[in-house]
Amino acid sequence: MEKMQQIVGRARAAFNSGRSRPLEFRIQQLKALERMVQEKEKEIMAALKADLNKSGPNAYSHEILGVLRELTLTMEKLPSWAAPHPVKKDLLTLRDEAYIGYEPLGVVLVIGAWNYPFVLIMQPLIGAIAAGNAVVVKPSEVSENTAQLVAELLPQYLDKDLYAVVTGGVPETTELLTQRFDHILYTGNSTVGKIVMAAAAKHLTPVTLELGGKSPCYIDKDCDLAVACRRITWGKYMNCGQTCIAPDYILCDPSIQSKVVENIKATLKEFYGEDVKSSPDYERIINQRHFRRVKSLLEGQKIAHGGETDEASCFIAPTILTDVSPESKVMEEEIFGPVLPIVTVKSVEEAIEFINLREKPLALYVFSNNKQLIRRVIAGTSSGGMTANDVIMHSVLPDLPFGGVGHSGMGAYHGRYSFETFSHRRACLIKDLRWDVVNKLRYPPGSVEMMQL
Amino acid sequence: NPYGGLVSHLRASWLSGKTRPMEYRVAQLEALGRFLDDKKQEILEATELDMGKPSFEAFFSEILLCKNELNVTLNNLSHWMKDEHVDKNLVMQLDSAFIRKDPYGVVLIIAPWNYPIHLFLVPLIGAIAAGNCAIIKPSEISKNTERLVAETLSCYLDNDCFAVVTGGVPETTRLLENKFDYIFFTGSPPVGRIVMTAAAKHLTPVTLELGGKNPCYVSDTCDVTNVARRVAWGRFFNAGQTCIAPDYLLCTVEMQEKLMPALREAITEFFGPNPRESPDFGRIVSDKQFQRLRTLLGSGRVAIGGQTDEAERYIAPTVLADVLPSDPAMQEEIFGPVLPIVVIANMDEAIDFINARPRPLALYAFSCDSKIVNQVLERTSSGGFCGNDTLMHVTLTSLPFGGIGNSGLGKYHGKFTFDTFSLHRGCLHRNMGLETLNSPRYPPYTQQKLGLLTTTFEVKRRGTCTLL
Repeated sequence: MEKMQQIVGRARAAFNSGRSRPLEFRIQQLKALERMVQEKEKEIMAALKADLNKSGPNAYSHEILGVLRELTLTMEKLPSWAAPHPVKKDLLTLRDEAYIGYEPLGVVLVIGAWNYPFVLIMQPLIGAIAAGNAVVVKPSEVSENTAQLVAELLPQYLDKDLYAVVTGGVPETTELLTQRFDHILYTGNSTVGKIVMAAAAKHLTPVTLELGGKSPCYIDKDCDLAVACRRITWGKYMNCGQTCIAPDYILCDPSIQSKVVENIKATLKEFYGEDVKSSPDYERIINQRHFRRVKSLLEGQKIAHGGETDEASCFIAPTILTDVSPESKVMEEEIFGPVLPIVTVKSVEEAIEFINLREKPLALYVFSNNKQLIRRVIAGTSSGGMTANDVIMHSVLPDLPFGGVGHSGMGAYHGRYSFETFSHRRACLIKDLRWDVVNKLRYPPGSVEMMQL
Repeated sequence: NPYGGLVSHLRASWLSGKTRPMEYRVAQLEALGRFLDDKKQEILEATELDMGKPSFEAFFSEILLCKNELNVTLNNLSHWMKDEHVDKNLVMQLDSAFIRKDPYGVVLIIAPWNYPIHLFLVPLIGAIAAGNCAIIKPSEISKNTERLVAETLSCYLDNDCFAVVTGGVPETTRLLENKFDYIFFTGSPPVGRIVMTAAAKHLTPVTLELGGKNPCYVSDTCDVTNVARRVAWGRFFNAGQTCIAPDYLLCTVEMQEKLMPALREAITEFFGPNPRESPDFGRIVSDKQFQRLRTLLGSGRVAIGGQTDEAERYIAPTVLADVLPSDPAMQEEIFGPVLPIVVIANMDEAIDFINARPRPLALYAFSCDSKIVNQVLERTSSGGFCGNDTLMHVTLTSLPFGGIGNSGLGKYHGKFTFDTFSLHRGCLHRNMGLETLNSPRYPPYTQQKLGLLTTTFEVKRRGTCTLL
């Protein structure tokens, strides 16, 4: 499609003009983004409501607050991030200038996902702009209201040629991926992640893949169950379970399973009231296809709580499944819905073994009063990130890299890591041209004495 | 799948956890050091057989630089392995937030023939330091070194965790069908694409150290003698078979005139009147490479050298003058002892010339005027840059070594190798108490809760008034 070539070509020409490189320009663009978020807050929240049935305060705290924070942090720190970093020199380079220079990569592609459709475009975009690149943004077509809004708003606030929005579905994205980019950041699932990386390989384009998987949550017998279950309930059912780092399933001793269920039930009532369906704070499944997918996971399962569904409104009640078999469908794929299976294990070792038999997850959670046990779980497993005694929160700290490992992804971003992801760290050594005394040691003719030096 | 068993075996060792304790990693690294010490003579001999590598060069690149990396790693390993604690926000003051350096698992290191020990060993140092198991695939083209590594490395390293696989393209292709947790490849861009495509099937992260044509700009204001020495040294080291060698020179016609006698003098100083007899000048690694290089000699006009001997795979240190951008020597990475000079009118033209081409692994600029060096640096893009010298930026272990665009992705050397082979895992260990601090985030949502949340999570610009 000629259109894609034109858009990317324009972005590249704009990048080559050099105007995205001065720090003042980048900060000016970031300030414009900040104005956009502040001025168009209502429109953004309306789009999120239309796409995911997200309530005002919810939408604000999940998507807008995080973006504003990232903007403030980035504008604040950019001069220090972008400054050349002098490095330790050795004997031969003592008189030289040696440093790492941070440079833009060129034209980068950001592909967003539908579950947090605004922040998953904005946060990478902020890092890409801060690093001095031109950016092509491809919001998810599944969250179509937000995609449409982003396509309308960005050109109103940002440099139109440097920062372009491309909308569309699979055919458009496939076409886009044939173009050459200097970095691609993709958020989505592992299957498409492989396609993105294979397309990137043709151009030797580095990629950051923020994928997913089943994030396990181990609850130790020795812990404050009420607190643990409240925190888990919050992280599991927010956004109707459609969060890449939601606790996907619980591992716990059979003796506490029913207490866990009771605590979660109580918390759900506290959060959403008696009639969840009428709570303004409970979202919906994004579309019918995903509704049917999640609903099918309930087949043959022991439903300890919830299970009500309504296809017309894509409503699935907060659901808990007990005594789930590891071989069942709900334990095969990432749930990405408000269904929480509990798999019983007899010990933390069994839990660790269970986790390690599966693909490395994006996030991992463990609840325990026992610090040693927590240390053991961290050391005995691998995951993109983890939180002990809470869920989700490690993704909120800007100084922690956010990314996956293995099937859950590669690379990381957030805060400084976004800036580094979208920068080239160029090694620079500047020597003096006049002095050659030291260099003589290395020139031929070589000799045994020289070698022994 | 002929390598399935081997990969499974290494994976089982990995899952046993034995590569994780620091003591184990140190022991393996020290064993690598002993390998370099014990097998020094064999390494010098094997690389001489493979490409006539002069002992001085082999010692420098295959032994000395490797030992430096080893020592930097051993000196700093405990520090690098430690959890890195990070800044926390208001609500997390009682929590512990840190970055844990986790090994990836079973990694694959594919090395090329030109620095056949260095280019597998330095990545391996980082892989071991980071706690991984590794399969090493040395190049079949440097066959004497390949045999040495295949036969002797196993005497030094734990064979349950580290293995050497030999073979050519078919074997490497089969090897790449397996799932690895990281792949480190040094070689050409076309093969880099194949490796990355294979890695994509398993979502395996990669580092690709590739190549390209490294431009070398020489301004009119420079110390011609020193420039000639430094450029000649960088170009003719290993008979030009260096990924970061200055590939071609850009200068004015006047500078070309001045440089020629200086280059001639430097070459004579280094290799004597007949470089073929010098023990310090290498040979081309294979007949195929030799033939390829010989055809490039038709570019421009031979100003220095040009002699070849097929039996010895000898190509004299050669400088080609007045080379045109359309000449064969300007179409591919030279990777031989041939230095084309392309004449340009001024620095701006040189910069445009460089920027019209794929981004190189290394870029060089020579000038007594530091402003000119900085201009070239600022207006171009490359993996690394060295002003007023060649090759040296990669000997400083505190600088990252890697390419950009066609010349590669990722970086290593020193701590960067350790970081390449470790997953930086964001960890937050929270307090189970103080639950009231969490209440603003829970439904039912209210504007009041939102206000509280905003206050505790917000990042304020310095200098803005926080009183409301």
